[in-house]
Amino acid sequence: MRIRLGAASGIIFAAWLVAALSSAQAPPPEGVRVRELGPIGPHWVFLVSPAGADSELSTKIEIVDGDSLQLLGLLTGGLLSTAALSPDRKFIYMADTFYSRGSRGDRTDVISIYDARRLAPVHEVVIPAKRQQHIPPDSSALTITPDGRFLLVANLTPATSVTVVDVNSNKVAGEIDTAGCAGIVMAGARRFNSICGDGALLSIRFDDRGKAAASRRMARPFFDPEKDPVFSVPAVIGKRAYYASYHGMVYPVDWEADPPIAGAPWPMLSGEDRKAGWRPGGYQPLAAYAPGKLIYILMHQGGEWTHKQAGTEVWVYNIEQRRRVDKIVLPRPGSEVYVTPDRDPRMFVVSLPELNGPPSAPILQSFSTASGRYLGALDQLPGFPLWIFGPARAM
Amino acid sequence: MDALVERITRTVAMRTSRRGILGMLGRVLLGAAVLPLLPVDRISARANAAAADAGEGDPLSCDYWRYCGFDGSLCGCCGGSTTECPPGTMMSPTSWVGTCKHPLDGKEYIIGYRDCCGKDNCGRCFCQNNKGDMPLYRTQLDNGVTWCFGTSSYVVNCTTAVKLGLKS
Repeated sequence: MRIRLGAASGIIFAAWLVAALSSAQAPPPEGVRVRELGPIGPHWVFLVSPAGADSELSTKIEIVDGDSLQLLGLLTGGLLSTAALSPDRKFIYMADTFYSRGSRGDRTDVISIYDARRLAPVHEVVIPAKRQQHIPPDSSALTITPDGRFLLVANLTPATSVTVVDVNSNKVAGEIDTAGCAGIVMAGARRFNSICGDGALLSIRFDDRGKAAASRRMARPFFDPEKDPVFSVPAVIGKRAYYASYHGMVYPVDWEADPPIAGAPWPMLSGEDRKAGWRPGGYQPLAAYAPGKLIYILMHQGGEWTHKQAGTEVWVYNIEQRRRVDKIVLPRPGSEVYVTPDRDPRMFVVSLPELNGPPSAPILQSFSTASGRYLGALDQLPGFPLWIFGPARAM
Repeated sequence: MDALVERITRTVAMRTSRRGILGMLGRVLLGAAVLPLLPVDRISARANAAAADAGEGDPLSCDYWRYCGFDGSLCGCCGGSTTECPPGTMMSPTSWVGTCKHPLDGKEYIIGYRDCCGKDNCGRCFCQNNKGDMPLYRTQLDNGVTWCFGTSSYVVNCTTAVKLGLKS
């Protein structure tokens, strides 16, 4: 009996095996692959996280589709990297610093060039190892000429200068001295402006060999750094740039004049606002929407020297009428604001965890600028994003 | 202010040579070799206790008077102290400066925030007080700059707060 059962079970097993093998051939193979991105959309944003809670050795750039609020991909760079997009949106440039042994060893500074669809490195250009190391990063540390030919890299030793990189030949073209002045904001095809310590602007024209061709300085400062310092990156709208100050003034500058010409400053705050303690603040407090002649600024209530405090509201000003036209209350206070430059604009705000508060991950909040309506958020942002930029980066 | 800052920077630069720092580190290391059972944290605890004894407040708190322009991790929480870098790091001979009021004598002191460089960020006791902090066009007052000029690595571990003198 036992033998018979054994034989029977053997036959059953064989039948099962045949069935199993034939069914194993049935399912189609899984379609594994590495994704590629489509072209950069008008509502895509790039979040730059120079440091995490316990390491600053590799900067992250987080690429987000602002419509679906999905994280599309990541770039990892070096120590306190900065970034820029090519005007044709085909390449992402990162200015990186690496040490050969992690936090020590030989220093190499490099422009890393990434294909924007594959997020893969395609070229690199070694640059002089004196790139500016600063938190937060901003657009004035790495800028591209409007034709996409030259990248300008800010150096700090702590003397200031600019390395000019020719992107056509992937070579360093030259270096421009900007002694006593800092930051690079484009003001023409081959011209940029830097702010100097006394509150004047320095205008530098350069040639295709990466050398300064002309350098002109404003005759007088356009603001008083002792009394009312301005945030370093202006909102550029048309032929003018608008600087916001710690105390809530707007300093317009005729940007295309060479050297630039100061306009008449005007206040963002009424007497009542001032009494209530409102003032601008954050890591990236100012954004421009050029088609609407609007500037957006993060505001909070606080005392002197709270210029890095997160904003609880975004106030919107029409720069021609010189008046506030809107006020957007943020669900969560934010430290960086960016507005897309298209005809259906979005406002994005990055919110960081409170310093020494309960642990929480940063989030990206999205708003319709037309209605000020909150559209949602992307949570669990990696790292600690301190700068946000997008495809048409005037800021 | 420019002239003042320049004077301080020059003075600091003149008085603080790389060799001086190496010498100081050498003494600390020698001390560690002779007294292997005396841990570094006890040394910094003693320094911290001395400050607390003088009624100046708690040097491990972001509210401590010297930190009015501070930005970073307190070295006192990271193996150093208000005036000492943790073992194996390099104290930068340069710094950004702030002007802070002493809680007892009421006088304004110039404080140099000297970064300890060469190891990844400690991350403990992160404090950000921005009194006097200005953008890069006033480099010497910008607490966002990595102040590791003069060392061999721009990776910041933590930051000290050294009295440089009375504001004149």
